[in-house]
Amino acid sequence: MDLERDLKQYGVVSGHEPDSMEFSTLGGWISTRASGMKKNTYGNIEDIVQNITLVTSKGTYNKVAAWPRISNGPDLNQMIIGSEGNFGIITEAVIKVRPIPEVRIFDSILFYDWESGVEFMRTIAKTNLYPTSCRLVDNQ
Amino acid sequence: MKPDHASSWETFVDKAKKFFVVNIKGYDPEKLTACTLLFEGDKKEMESKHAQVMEIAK
Repeated sequence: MDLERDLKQYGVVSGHEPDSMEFSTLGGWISTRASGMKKNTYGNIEDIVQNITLVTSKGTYNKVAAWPRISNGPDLNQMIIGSEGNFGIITEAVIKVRPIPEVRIFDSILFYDWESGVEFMRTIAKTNLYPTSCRLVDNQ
Repeated sequence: MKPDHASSWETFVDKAKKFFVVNIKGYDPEKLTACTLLFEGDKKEMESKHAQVMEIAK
């Protein structure tokens, strides 16, 4: 939340919004390969993170340049993302940001039962509409 | 799960909503399911996507 507040001053957002947002950190999101409810628009953490500085017992790791991707060997960032502290401590990261969205449209739909909700979700999944967030909840 | 109400008017409005959904529209509270939606981005594009999604829901 501090991250989004500070990014706002520059007119940008990261768009990563896990349920744990109030008490989780960028390093934690990387360590746990986190997803967020707005991943359809902004991507999961592995899509958002471009470079990571990892301090290990043998030295410090980071990529020479934070290119979004490169057709040259395995992407070692992928080994760090989700490593849950096994290889070292994440001290820095470079992330993608996007301009603050022009609009935010919220809505909700009520279904008579879970099954018709799932059928709706499946129909949406087959289109290329990709709402920023689309979640199904019941009272159970 | 619901947030606490600021006033008794809000509590009343909430009860009226519940009465409408359960007794008039005939939703079973044990079965009803909600889908929450968010569209973020370019105004025209998101309005169009929103309209298409709501059309599918009908």
